Amino acid sequence: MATPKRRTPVGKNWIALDAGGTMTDAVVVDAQGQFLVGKFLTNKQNESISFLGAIKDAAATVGGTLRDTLSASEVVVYAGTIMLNTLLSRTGAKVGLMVTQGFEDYLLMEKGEGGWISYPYADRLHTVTHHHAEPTIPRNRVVGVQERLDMFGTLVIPLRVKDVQQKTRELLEAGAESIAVMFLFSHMNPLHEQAAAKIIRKIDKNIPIVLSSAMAPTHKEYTRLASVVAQAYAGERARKHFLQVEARAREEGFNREVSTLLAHGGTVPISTPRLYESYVSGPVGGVLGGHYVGEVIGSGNVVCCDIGGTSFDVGIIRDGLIPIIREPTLLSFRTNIPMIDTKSIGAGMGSELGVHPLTGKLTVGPMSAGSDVGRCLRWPKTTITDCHILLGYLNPKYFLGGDVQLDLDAAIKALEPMAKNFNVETFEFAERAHRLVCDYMREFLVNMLRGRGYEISDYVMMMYGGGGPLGLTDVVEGLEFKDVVTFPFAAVFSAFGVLCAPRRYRYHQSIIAASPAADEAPQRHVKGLAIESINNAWAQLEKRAEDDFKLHGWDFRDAKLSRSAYVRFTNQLSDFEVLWLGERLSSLADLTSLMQRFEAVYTTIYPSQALYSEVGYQILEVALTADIVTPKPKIPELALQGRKPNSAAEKGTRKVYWRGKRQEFRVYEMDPLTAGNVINGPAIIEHPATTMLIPPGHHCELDKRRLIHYRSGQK
Amino acid sequence: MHAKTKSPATKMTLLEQLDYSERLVTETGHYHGLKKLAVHDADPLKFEAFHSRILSTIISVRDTMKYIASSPAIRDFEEFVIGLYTPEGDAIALSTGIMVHVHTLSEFIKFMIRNGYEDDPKIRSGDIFENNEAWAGGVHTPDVMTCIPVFHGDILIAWIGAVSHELEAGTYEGPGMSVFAPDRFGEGLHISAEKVGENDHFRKDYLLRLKMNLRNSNWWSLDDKAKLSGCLMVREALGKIIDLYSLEYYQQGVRELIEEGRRNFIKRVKMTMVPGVYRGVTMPVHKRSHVEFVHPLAKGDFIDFVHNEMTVTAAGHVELDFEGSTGWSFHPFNCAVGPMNGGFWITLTQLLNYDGRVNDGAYLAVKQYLPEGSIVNANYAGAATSLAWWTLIPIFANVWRMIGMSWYARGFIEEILMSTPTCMAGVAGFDQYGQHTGYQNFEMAGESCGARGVADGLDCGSPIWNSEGIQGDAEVWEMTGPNVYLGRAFSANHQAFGRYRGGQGWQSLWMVRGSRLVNVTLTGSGCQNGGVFHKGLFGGYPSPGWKCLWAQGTNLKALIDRGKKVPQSVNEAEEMLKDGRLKAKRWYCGPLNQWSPNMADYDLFGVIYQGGSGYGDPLARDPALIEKDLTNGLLTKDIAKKIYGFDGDKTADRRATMCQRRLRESVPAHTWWRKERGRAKKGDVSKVVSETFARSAQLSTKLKDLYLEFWRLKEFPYKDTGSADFQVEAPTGFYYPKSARKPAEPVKKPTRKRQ
Repeated sequence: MATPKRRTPVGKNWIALDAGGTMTDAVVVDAQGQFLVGKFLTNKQNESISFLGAIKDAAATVGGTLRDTLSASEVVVYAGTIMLNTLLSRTGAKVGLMVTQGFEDYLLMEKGEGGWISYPYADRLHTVTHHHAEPTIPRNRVVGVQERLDMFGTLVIPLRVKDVQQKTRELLEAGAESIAVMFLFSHMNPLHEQAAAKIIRKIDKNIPIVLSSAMAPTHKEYTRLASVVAQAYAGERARKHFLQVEARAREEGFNREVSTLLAHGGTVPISTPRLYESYVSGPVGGVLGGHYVGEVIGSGNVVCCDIGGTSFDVGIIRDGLIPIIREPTLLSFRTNIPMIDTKSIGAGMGSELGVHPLTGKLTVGPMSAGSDVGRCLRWPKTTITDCHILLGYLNPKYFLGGDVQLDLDAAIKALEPMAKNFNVETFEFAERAHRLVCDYMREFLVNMLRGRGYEISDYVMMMYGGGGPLGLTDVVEGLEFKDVVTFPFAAVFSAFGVLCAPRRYRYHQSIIAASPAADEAPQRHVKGLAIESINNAWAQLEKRAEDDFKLHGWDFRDAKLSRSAYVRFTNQLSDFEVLWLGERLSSLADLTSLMQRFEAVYTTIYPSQALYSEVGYQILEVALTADIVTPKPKIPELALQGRKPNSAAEKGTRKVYWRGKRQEFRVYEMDPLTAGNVINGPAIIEHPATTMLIPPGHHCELDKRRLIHYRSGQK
Repeated sequence: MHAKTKSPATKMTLLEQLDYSERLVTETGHYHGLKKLAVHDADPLKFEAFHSRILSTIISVRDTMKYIASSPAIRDFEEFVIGLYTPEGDAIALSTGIMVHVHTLSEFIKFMIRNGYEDDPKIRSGDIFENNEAWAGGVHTPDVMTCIPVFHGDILIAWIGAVSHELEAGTYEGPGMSVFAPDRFGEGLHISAEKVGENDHFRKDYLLRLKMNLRNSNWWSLDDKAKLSGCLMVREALGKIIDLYSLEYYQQGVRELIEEGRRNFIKRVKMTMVPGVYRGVTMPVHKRSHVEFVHPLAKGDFIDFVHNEMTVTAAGHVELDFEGSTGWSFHPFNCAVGPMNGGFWITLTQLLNYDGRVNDGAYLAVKQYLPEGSIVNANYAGAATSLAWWTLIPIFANVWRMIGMSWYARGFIEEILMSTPTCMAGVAGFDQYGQHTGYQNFEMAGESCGARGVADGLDCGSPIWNSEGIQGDAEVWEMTGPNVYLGRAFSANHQAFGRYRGGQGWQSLWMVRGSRLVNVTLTGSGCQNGGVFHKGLFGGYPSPGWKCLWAQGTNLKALIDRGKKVPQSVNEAEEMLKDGRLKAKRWYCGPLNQWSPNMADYDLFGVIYQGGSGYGDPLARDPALIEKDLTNGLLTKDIAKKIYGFDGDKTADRRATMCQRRLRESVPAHTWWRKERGRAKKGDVSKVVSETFARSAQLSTKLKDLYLEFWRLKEFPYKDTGSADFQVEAPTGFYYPKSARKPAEPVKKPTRKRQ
């Protein structure tokens, strides 16, 4: 087993794979910082096929072989959809679920909100459309046992041993292959869950038992339930898929362990005990990449934007901190997996265009054509890509590097009647439709920033995804970012980001602690208890981290620990993460300082009218991250080659419709562009996987790392 | 491309603007007289971007502001909404949430304008106004509206308002909605369209007032802070929108949005409904004579009869006429114009107006005729509306049903959604933190829905009053108040049978924990018969009704200590109380409103929520759906056999036999009519029904006329109203929202060719 300390990246490849619903992207970075990029259609039945396929594709770009590449590889991180696919395909384990008596119907109830949680505005209102998913564990494999603890973790009703015995037998008879246990308030006191586990173990020596208190001991039973079900149902099945991937990689010469990405952005070996945390919704890899590039260029504030075919995803890094949410949606449940916070809207560069039958409005998405592109290829409905073909943004003969020929006439035929409907000329309609989609994206992004009280001018925007460089110019229009950056490898930036992830575990624990506003003896006593409770919880989490480190053979003394507390005003229902830089709270003054830090975080988001210091504070959860510092892929600094691109990059000109008229745009090929090159608009830079648009009055410049800076004005 | 409008609005007072705007509607039929949508037509795509910008701002602000709030109602129950209004108070765009308030906020703003607030207390930049007063457009005391004016220079260009539902409102009994108050003086703290803040800050005297008049003012105060912050955030965003589009574009654009809203609504009505008159009645039954501690005025049993005609006009307008309904009384279930508007809006947004433009435009294409002094328009200055929902829910259930019929007739079966009644548990007393508390457990916001025209109702879905249904985590509720859940699960057979059944009823059972003094109020909409008046459609059963339980002085501690079985559901607790395994000094289990005696640790209370109404003949139900319900424990075999004729391989035979029995037991309508006519002539009905008819006749001859016509009688047999015969004057001295005036004579409306 490789310990990170002994890792010697010199002469070694680092490989990251980001498996999406459609494609698996691979990025191979060698010691010189050279990037090889590969893609393969995701094979949902057997992901080892697309895993190897994508690496092979990358290796082939420099004439290499799969075996050469893998045997010279130090790190392989596989981030992807194994967890999600196991859940969606209903191919998980036959789990038996044991809950507190009287709560057996929870998976059918989905808290009510499961009926609409991922719906857009209109459907949320339109009640007749709401529906529940079939539960992953059928009702006849859910049992209840008599027990209750209260909110403080105090015993109310003792666990009935005979209930556990009888119900365990019932579950086994019903064919349960593993047993998940979720009791109310087990996060405050795991006593009953642990006792139940012992009783189950006596009845069956081998059956895997998953306890909600051991997975993620935080408040709200529906979220714990979602997590424990995900782990029990899909965790071990997913591990089999991961092991299959690892075995195939080893057959092809890889001699290390495969790692995976957890939702909070840490990578861990696939032997991790809580594999359900590898459930990732949204492109978190991009945020990790944005965070790393931000470090490299010296910016702690980064807005990470990913434009794909179907959606637009945004994550905001503030002061170098990757934002974490604690109740992401897992299918139709909220779960308590800490996850990198990205938000998305269903508008992308392949979104369908339509006319609302009732209102006559132009509609965008949420359907998209995916690899069928639009009317210009084989999708039955008109898409934004059809507009791009007409406008000249995209070259119909150079789509995917020319592998696919697009039909300009079909695009025109599709767009003409729509343009007529809106009383505009076809070219103008196409441009306006593109701009409308970009408007939606800009609105969304600006609302996210302003909703958090952030100033746009404090941020560097990083734009990536296959559609990123194309949408960039309209999305950032009028926004005064500190800098706007995109990448020659924009299409696989998320996979690159996965390589930037630290080796990290993250833990949360619910507690009950208060810091009253007054400072007399009784309140000082309460504060003293709060300090004790916070410190104990941190110590408990450190113990968990130590256990996990031991499992992987890592030295806990090397761990870099980061502690935080979640603070709220008394009675508030939401809280905010506040970092604590020390090891422990050692005095009342420390506690006060933690509360002050909370108010500082709070007032960056809300107006000062929202402060409520006079009622005091509560701390109901603490968190810990444990990292091992590992080297990150190099983004090498290159010698500047001058502003003018070399002739190999020049591809002539083409007519592009821009702001009401067709204009001559110069066309360049992306890969031959070198550090220092400046491209003045009007221009287009083509790449097999992406296209960048530089309108008149703008330019882009490749810096010494070949990061592309997009700016207004000419240079 | 900015339209140059020549509206003189900027030079007028708000009152003049309001009059002007309303006059234009009356004269032209179009919002603000907009026969043409100049800004829209000049550039529809720009207009769409403009709307998207406004709407996305509001939606994202709602998402951000809810993290400030303290009520589980806001944070976890989506029980709040934020919206943007014109200077005259017309809704332009709203977030999701409690859509009840699209128009209630609008009435609140108009109330201030019409009552001369411009002069006193003056409307200035930075002012904060608040209201939960039904006379000023509100629904009931727990729905608290916060509203700020937005100025551009010295011109008021918009209002931003937000509404939250508070769990505690200082009522007599404790929880936010009073069940037993006879009049407004028991329904808690009224903020009657007041200025409560200046310079973007709440006034100290206002905050002190909250502190002194509420049991837990932190909830209300923090929710106020959330709403204010949201309003300020929208105000800031609005400034940027105006910078981008120009003030003229904004002013003209928002009016066109409203006019578009009106037109879209009409289009949908014309596309999906059949013109004509639809008639329905609903009869919420109120029994309170059994309640030990209740005001003498409120101690009676009666039925509120609500007669409801829905007219869909050829022009695509929808009108509701309530003539024939009984009068208001001394209970908190009265409705006024505000509550009735709220009820109409939940209907419009969930059924007819969910996409396109959710704004006040639709309001211009609908009308409600609410007879003065009736249960739907209580004109007594002291009338309580604290639980207006107990009348609104049955009324609008009926409207949903009538709309369903209309859709059926046009073939829009997929749109049909039946309703669901509501019941709830409130807790008051001292909590596990030693503090005084009072709150409604809002888990009924995850009630099961009514059946659909093509599928079963959603089990654990949403109530009629908020489409974003959610029951919340038990662990959150246990931190809110002094009790632990002993169970929260579906109740077997508690479903409105039908080809598509109503959503399954579910129940919660609680044990008091951490308190030496707790009283609970347990109440259902339309009381014990609520279900009966949530009728099914086309042979589907009505909602199966509700049941509640409390048990005081139990031996639960002894059962626990001895390791005995503890009840996990209301039905099990009842069974155990009956067979003596569970003992209690006093207990009740049944469908009557309850106010428990003083309870403490180890005492029990619980509720079985109703579940939604059914659709279609149960004998037409797909056996696969029945088997699924059997597997999930939602149905027992005996009931499946009895109601659905489900008997494995023999199902078809059994169903055929049941059909034959039905035919045997039926009589021709005329035979039935002749037999019943004798009773109808004598007025041979129960006392409470007889009084209901008489009370209806007291206000209008509508019901009487229909009765005499149907039974071909000359004399109406019901005279005794059973209540004191006295009239009260409507309040004077201030403006308050009034019902639309019904045309004196039914005018045959010419069919207009094109909208």
